[in-house]
Amino acid sequence: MPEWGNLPIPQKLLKAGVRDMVRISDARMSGTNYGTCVLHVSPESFVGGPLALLNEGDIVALDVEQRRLDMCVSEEELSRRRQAWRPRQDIYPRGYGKLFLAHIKQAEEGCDFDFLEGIAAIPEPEIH
Amino acid sequence: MPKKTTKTLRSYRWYGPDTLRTFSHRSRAASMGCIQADYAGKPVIAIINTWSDLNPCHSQLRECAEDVKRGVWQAGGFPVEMPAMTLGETFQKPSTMMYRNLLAMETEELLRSYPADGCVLLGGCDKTTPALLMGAISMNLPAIYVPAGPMLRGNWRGQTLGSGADVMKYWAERRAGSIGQQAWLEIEEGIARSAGTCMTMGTASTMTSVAETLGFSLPGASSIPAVDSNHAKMANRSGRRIVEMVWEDLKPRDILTAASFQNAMVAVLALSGSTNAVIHMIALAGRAGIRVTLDQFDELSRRTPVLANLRPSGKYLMEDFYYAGGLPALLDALSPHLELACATATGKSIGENIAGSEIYNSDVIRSLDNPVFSSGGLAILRGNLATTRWTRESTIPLSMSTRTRYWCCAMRVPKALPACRNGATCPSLRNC
Repeated sequence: MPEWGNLPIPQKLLKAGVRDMVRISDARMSGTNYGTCVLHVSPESFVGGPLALLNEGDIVALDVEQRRLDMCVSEEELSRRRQAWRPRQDIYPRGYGKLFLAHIKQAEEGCDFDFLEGIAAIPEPEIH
Repeated sequence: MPKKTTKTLRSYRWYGPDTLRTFSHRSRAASMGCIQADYAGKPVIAIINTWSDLNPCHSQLRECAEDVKRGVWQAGGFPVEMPAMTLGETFQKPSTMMYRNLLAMETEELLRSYPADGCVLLGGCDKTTPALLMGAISMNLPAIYVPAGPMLRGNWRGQTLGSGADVMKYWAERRAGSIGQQAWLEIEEGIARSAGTCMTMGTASTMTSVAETLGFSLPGASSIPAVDSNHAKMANRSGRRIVEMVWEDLKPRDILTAASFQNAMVAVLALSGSTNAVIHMIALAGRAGIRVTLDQFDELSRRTPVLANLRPSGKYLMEDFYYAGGLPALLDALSPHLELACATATGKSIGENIAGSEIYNSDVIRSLDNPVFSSGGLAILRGNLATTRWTRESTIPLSMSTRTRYWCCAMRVPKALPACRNGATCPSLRNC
């Protein structure tokens, strides 16, 4: 979940005086940044979340008052894109990255590892 | 009345009994110059230090650890400094977020595998705060959080610069051709003037404020600039207090409740804090067996006024916030929205901690009848897949499996769109 939520404004818009635009991302951004940003879309596109199904040219409706964010794409079309979607695999063949991918939870669930949650007691180490 | 005795201290198992193994522990302590009187029967306080040469936010934490140690010694404890991985927001790739849980695991296992009776956690840069706290909550030993503290205000040609927001702002201006290379280099050297974390209300100050509101820090700790001598005194006092907490057996899960998490959520909203707090607080609560939901954030956001006039959504910086009274003053102003009976590391309730706090600058910290904004800056959105039962087809071994899922996200809502001097609209930098 890198800091890609604060996508830079395209240069031609900057030159036209535009200093803000709506960004929608399943990543995060620095809390020091500003602007109209919809972040932490969950589940993320990496696992085939809705942003993975969004194509260039689609209309997205954002209604903050009603707390709605919708892509204006028919269910049939979404279904077709879902069928066509393929996961990325083997980014981390070993190591911490592999552990991370195996156990990370989604943004709405806090991004903890599934095996770290909860309050089940762990025994004190033996002294020997 | 102390709940712990010298023989029920965790560390007693390492140092106390007359066995071959404890002989090794004592003899190796002796090899470091310690005599038995240094540690025998005393709480061992682990100072988990995330100092690193590649984490500018924590560059003062080696000195800070010495301040903590002085407090621990004075209160009759035995301080041991233990380095842990740092999560340096600016340098670590691809993202510190990838390593938050690794530091959480390291913190928990350091505390478990060594003779620690209590801990002082030294962090501050964004993910270090939730990571250290998640580990400490899971280990559930008495814990105090000593936040690194924010940087001094940035300065460029007499103008105040704020971390993050001004980088994005002036980068946009540079790409638009309105400032040149020389000005850009001056900004580069002027925006980060001291040790400490970002001095806007970004994730660092949001999360250290969360730590304080949850009851993990001494009152006011999160607002003190890193290089202010009051910071060193706070560290010293934290060292003294943690020793008492060990004897009192005051542990994280004695402090954390659903109400204390709600208080922290209200604080984040009144500070117009970072959206990242939503993720971290859900994770923190999960370590304490407490459920924090997106709906709670949204519901609280609708009725919590923003009282802190801090960038990126307001005007001032953390240094101004500290001089205006800091977090205790803000929480006191916010007290009708808080559950004041919640326990804290001081042994007193949060209501007792903040009672009598004064606001010294009523533009920086507003009152309930003169808020910056009448409602919070976070919105939880749901969308057109919200009611869809969607079966994931991939074979990636992630924890999520076939279940109804909501398309959820957090949004920082821009509240003000005033005209800048250059005529462009700007959602936050009202003094630009």
